[in-house]
Amino acid sequence: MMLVRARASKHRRLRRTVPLLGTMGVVMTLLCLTAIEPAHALPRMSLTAGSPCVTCHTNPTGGAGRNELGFGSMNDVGLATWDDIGLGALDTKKNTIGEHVTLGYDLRVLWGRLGQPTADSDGKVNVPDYITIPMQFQTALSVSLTDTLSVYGTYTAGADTMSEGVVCDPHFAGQECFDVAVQFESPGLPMVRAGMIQPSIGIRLDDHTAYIRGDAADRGRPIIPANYADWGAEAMYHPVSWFRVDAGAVVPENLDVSLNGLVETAALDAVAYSARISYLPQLVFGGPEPKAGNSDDDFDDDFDDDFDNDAPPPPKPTVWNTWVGASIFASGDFSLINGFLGIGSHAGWEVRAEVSQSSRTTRHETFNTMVTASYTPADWISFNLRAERARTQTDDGEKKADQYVAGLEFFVLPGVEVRPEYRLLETEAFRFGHAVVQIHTFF
Amino acid sequence: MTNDIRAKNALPVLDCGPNRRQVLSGLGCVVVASQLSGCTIAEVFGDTEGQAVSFDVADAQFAELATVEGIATLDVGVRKVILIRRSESEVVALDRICSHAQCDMAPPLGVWQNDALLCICHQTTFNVDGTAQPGGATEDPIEAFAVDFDPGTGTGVVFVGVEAT
Repeated sequence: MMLVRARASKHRRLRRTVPLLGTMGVVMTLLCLTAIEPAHALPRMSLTAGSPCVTCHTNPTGGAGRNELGFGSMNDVGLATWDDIGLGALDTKKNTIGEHVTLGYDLRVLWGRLGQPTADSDGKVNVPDYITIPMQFQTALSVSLTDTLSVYGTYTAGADTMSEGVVCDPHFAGQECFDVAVQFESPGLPMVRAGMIQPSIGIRLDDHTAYIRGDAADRGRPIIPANYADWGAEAMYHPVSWFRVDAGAVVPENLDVSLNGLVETAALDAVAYSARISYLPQLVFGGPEPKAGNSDDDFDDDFDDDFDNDAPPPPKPTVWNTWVGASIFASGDFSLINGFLGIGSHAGWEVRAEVSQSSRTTRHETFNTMVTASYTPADWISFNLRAERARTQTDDGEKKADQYVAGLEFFVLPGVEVRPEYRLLETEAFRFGHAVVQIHTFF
Repeated sequence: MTNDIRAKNALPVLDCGPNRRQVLSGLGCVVVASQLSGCTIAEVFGDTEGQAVSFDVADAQFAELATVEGIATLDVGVRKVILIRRSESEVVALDRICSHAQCDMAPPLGVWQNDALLCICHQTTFNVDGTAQPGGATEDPIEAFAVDFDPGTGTGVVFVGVEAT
């Protein structure tokens, strides 16, 4: 393509609005940090607990649908209880029907500026208005068929589902409106699931706006969109706590839509393969010293004896859970390689980093990085920071998207979460910072 | 293209009810969110003036324009353009940013149907001259740009910033 007429590029700062009230926001943030009481003793998910997603979720990669432990865990978390506000009747005591059927849902609404700033020919900058949009309404069902066999699935409604009755209305290209799988799980054997599944790729995030699986050249068209799924099967083998491997294959129909829906960019094979390997050592520092010559079994007895003798309690050990791993998802000329590592403590701190690189038939190579940190001082609140750098190389040059997100997860009531965030996004064309509030309800 | 664009972890165990300090801190956090909502930063880099840009359906970027109702997208400086093969002989070019809530109408958010561009963000439909059809979320138009298209060669020029006549 030829540029017939071009003018010298100009860099215009066209609008910046930073009210003084923003300063108050910083002050209030500091107040938040200092007003919160120390954490209680908690079991935690993921890095802070050292537990895989399947500990609490019916889908081993997470998402809507919690098992008995997951439901029981979250059902008490909140700044207040339903009883506290006089709505005890809304307190969901269980998410099961009988002994074998488990239900769940995840409703998310976002209040924010959807889109990006634009400029008129006269230089005036326009920003999108604040609007409220339904992000997701996902329902989940799982049925335990036998001790080793179960079926789980989710259905996600789209914007047109309610208004026009469109049953399957995915928002992003390649997104699927449902997933369903038959899952086999038996002690000592690999867990196997088959159906419409999302393969294990890097770390599956709860936030759909992250760019680690995205494309800076087309931010509205992520490589692997949220709720991506294809027909296939995957096995997960977790023989010891510190090692896990996932491997599977899918028929990449939705992947084809994601990569080639507009322009053919990647020649895919009939099958896409996925593999992920994770090393998950737990590091323990401090705590009571075992006595010389004692076996591990003796140690427990001695621990109890210390209490019986009214001796000072032994020091608590510091436990750090860690992840190091890598994954590959590939078909034909397309490949997506992720590397990740993370560390989290029972005290509520957690830091993660992930990198991803993808390539296709045509020159369209992405290289994305992400670093996140969170602190959960109490079970009902968590502070989060995220920095992302997305780069895409095409024949048109390099496209970039840098995003910084600071926010908190605030569990107001059991099953009701408010997630205020401030997001700053910068590309070649614009810089855009604004506040966003998500409200999640779930069980 | 040589666009010079500078242009939960929380598992449970809440072993006591919320106290006043917790409630106050929670309310403080909500206040933070409300205060931050007034803090919007918006800068646009690049050339906001018009440019004439050539295209060729033989290029992968514009391959969809080889067939009627095919859609391609184009960024020119800060301007975002959607090109639509309206008929065998005509390609139309519209501003891709919806005049209602600034949704980017690149597919899949923009759908070409009934000879008009539908923004599925809030169901606003724009005619080929950029005017909004009644009944949508806005009556504000989007810009329609002049296009010189040669169906014989599959090449053309879109004049971004120059109103279609």
